[in-house]
Amino acid sequence: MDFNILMYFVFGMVAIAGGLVLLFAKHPIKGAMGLLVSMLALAGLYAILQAHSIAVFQVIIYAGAIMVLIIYFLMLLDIKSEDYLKSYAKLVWTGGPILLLLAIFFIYKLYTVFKGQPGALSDMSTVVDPMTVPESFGGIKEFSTALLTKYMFAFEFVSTLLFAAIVAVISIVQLDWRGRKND
Amino acid sequence: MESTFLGINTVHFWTYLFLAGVIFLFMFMMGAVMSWSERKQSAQLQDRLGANRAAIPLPFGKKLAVLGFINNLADALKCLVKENFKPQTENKVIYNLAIFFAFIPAVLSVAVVPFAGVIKPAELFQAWYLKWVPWLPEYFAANLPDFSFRLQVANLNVGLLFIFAVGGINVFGAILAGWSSNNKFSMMGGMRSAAQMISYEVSMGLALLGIIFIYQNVDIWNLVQGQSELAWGWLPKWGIFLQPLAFFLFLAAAVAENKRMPFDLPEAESEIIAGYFTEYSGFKMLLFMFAEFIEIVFVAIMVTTLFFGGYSVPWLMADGFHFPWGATLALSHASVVLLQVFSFISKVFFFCWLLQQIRWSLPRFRYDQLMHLGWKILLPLAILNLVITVIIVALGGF
Repeated sequence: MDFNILMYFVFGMVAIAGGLVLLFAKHPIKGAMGLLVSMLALAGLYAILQAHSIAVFQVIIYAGAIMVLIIYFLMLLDIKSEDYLKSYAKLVWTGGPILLLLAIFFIYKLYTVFKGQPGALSDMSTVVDPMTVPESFGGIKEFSTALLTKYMFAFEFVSTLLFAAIVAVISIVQLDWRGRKND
Repeated sequence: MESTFLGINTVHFWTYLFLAGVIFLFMFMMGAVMSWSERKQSAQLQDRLGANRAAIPLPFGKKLAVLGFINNLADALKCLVKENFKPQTENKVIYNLAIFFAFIPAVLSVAVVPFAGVIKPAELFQAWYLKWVPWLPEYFAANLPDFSFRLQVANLNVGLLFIFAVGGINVFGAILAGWSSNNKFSMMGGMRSAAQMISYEVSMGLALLGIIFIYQNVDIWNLVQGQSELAWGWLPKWGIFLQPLAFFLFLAAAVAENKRMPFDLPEAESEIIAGYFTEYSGFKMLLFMFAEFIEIVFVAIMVTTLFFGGYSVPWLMADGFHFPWGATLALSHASVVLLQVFSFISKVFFFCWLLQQIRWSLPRFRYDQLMHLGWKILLPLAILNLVITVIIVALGGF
């Protein structure tokens, strides 16, 4: 068995397991750890699919920055109080029908994409074969060029959104221009 | 000859597995050397003798102390047989997981650092001083005449970013250890370390952006290649000559990331016992300490690679020395490779010494001083350095 395909399935399973831990863990920090493992496994999947830049940015931004902040704030909260320990996992079942629809949609999509190729779905090597992409694929140069030309508008739009969120937070906590709290 | 193992070329597989093992062992040995120098160098600075008592008894009343190196073995043995203290915490899994988050990133990030240039085994074993393995040169010359590899475990074109990614995961070690220990001191240590590491990561990244701009690369291999070129025909294009300010900013930020002395608030022993690893005992505590020592070595490796030309020796090309005054000195492939490895390791040793010297010379900052230095001094200076670099690069300098 090809090493890439083996690791593809391993990372996929780990990502799903991390997601399940996030949903079903009683303790918020354990849930956050599940999310972290899921993020790292996703980075592994990107790396196997030759998208090295996206894999590294996945780890830097999601695991290294966002998850650190999430865990930091979870630690500052008083998670011994009852409210935080309430399990929200049973809400998952109400989402069941939506999940089913999504699953059907993805299977249909996979079917239509690979219908034309002989033996495609039984032979995963056509899906994750690194030889099917050009040598430069996923490199930092290609990634940056695509980000700053094709996806420039989306990129700038998201940064505007983040800026709006910062302004909103400052206006909610009502700081004056010196950074002091207004009463 | 194209045999494969799990879809990977067999020769490549074993070469890189061997290389990974050698570099892993190198980091471990350097960690051991650092824990020795932590004792001996501090002793020299404080006019003491340092650890010299632990020794292996030899016949005729002699003792084997090896300048206190045996103390390391005694320490490891002591930590192995000590009581494995378990604090009362409901998060046993996270308590144990935290050690791995601290330890694995420390040894993982060295994977993208080149230790020497391209190696051609068929040519390497031709040298007279490597002939003691009789069948090796014949094997490579007969079977793999064109086989060559870089002395670098992972050749990633996002190498520098990989180091930042792995360093970002490192933060979790301290946070989770501090939180899961169920101890107020540990918790404070974890909080302090998270705040400190996030603050200094910003200026560290900005300081390195200048290097990325000048050499137009984030691939560490190409960064070292760029630094081995010459400016005006005689000055090696090392980072320290082109980015002197960035060097000092990076060194300060890296020591802070490493949580060493002037910045060791997360484990300030006079305030919060041992900070985030207060509740760890025996071998678990040893692993935290060892991770810290390996990180010192890694900081030295980063400084060497990014600012001091990595493995490159001034004026040494693939076929020997080409001095700027016109003289040349032809060297065999094996000599060039050995010189490069020696150059890299001696630079790393020098910076390990320097970092230890800094650690034992400076007193600890206050917390407000730490934040002031990080956000109000290092960050503006890093941005200034970046702006100047961008202007010079845009005007066509370098």
